Amino acid sequence: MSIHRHTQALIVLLLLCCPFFAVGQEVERVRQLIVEGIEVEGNSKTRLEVISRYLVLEEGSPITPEALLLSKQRLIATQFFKQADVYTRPGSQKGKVVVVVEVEERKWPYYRFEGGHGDLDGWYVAPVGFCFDNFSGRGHQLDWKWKIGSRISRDELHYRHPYMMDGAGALDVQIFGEEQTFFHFIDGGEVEEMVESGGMFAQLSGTGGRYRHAFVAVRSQHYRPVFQPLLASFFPDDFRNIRIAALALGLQGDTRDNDRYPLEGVWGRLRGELAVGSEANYPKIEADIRFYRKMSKRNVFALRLHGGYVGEDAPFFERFYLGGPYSLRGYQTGRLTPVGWGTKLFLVQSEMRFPLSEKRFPRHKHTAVIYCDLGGIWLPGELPGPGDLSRSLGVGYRRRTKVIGVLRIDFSLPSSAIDENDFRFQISLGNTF
Amino acid sequence: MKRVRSVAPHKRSYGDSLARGWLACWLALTLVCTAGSVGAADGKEDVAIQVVDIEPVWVEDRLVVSAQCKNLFSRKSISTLQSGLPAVVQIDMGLLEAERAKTLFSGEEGNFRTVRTVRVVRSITYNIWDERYAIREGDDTAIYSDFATAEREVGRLGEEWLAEAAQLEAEATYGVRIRAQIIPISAEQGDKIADWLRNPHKMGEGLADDSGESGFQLNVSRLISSFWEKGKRARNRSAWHVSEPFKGGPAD
Repeated sequence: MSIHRHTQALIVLLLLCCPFFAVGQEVERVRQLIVEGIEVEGNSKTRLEVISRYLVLEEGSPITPEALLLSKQRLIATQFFKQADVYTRPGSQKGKVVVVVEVEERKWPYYRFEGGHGDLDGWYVAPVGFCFDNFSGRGHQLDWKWKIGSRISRDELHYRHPYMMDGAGALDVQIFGEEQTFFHFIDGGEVEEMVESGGMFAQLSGTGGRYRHAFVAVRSQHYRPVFQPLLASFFPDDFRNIRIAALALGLQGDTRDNDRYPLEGVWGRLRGELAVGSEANYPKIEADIRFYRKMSKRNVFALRLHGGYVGEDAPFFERFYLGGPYSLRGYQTGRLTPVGWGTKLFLVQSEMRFPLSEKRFPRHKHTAVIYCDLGGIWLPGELPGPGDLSRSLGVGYRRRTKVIGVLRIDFSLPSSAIDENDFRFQISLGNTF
Repeated sequence: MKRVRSVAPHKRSYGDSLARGWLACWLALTLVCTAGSVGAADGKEDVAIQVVDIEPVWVEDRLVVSAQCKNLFSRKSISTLQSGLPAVVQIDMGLLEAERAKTLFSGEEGNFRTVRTVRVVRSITYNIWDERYAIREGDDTAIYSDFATAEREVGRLGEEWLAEAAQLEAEATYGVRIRAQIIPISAEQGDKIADWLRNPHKMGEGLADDSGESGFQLNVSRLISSFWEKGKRARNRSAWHVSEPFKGGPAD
């Protein structure tokens, strides 16, 4: 009985207090600053809706200093403007503010320099790159660049519509021409083969809504391998011009907590391509999944599973390679690739990452890694087996720099000493995965 | 290991022909783009932030510093503040030991050693309902009714502790330098939102994707214009202001 009375008393007390809580909440709610309106100054060609896309504020929403700063930085990051500022002025009544967006539009294209490193491209720079972003005031991007490297020479015109279907998708279109030097390892020697190609690529990617994880792409590419007498004896069919028209569908997802040094989450992409109605008809499917798991406060275990299959009618430059700093570490780029390149690929990479500095974590400067890679590649008709897998163990150091991003140094011990190398030292850019 | 290239020696490579064709265009366009970026720079109507009356003083065995920051708030900062949004004032102090006093105090940098740094962070908020300004530093809050007083107080350093006498050498020459800046949010808050800035135009490092490469991009036009207009853009931060030199121990 006593407990029952206490319960009743408590309920009465809570009911009596409710109005006070409600009043308290009302006062708190009223005292939030609310956006009364948004004024944009300085835009002569850029449409208001383009600027609105990059603001994290809207009329009627509460305002915070973080939202102001974020909006300003998003506007600057578009590269549409030489200067952008977002500030407020008092509104028509207390508690209301007017957000003022001041922009200074870029009247000229801007000059962009690019550089990087890749397994197939080698070290490269794009010393000539001009960006005509927001040329129409609708937020579209247009850039042209010329890229040259140890294995590639390419010029490319790229158009991007970043906000299609009310922000649900983005369209990328590329027109390009390139010369790429591919490698073959025959009887222990490296033979290079140059392939000229040109074509068009278009991709529609979901960026929001129900299609945010999907993409669809079409590609039409004309290949022209440069005749190489030594290779002609191995692959007589490879030295013919080939036009490939392909349709690709894919799914991708990203639950990582950040993309610089992921502590938790998954990044994944599944891509299927079908080359149809062209001189080489084949399917190609590729899966790449990366897992990140925090093992202690800052140490992270990262795992990558990468696999693929391509039909045997695919020319070698549409097939897979194995070995290299972005593939199976510890081996020269493509060194594990069979003659004619592989149609089946399997690769597992695992890393333990240890930050060596705490300042500005997870944007810290120094990271050490211990890694173990395992992978195999097979020709058409070959049945994959565990005995075909190659392995490597290694340690690495990552140094984040201001301009070029992450500089990567790896020291690996491969399981099979190919070319009489018991170890391999590799320098590259970016995180492996 | 042997290497065989498939390109015949007499053949002009695709890259070479492109290079010849585009080199002139590149130079011309680069000049135009850079000049366009730089030439259209505008001036700011606001006066730069200044730090005046820097006075390092010995109070018993403690070195304390007094100073006053002026012109802290620009027109836009005042407008934002008076809308009810807070601003953060960050004042950085450094105790420098001159290796050669002459160069340190003639404005040249490099010939000194930073002995100690202290950062003072204060927030200022205008309460639009009470129409009063609140200045917070740690757990302390001070209230002011007019903006002029609040601006003066938020930028005033009144005997801020910098070092103990035991930390300094009596015969060495020292100086104090101070820099003030207005930031919309504190550094801690800024770190929290840094990774939200994922946008389609991201310039910088990238994760190696499934194409097996990783690279970087640099907006050269912006880089050049930022060098060219150095000083004009940094309206929200003062230059370093250095005190008169003094010896490393209390005067007898």
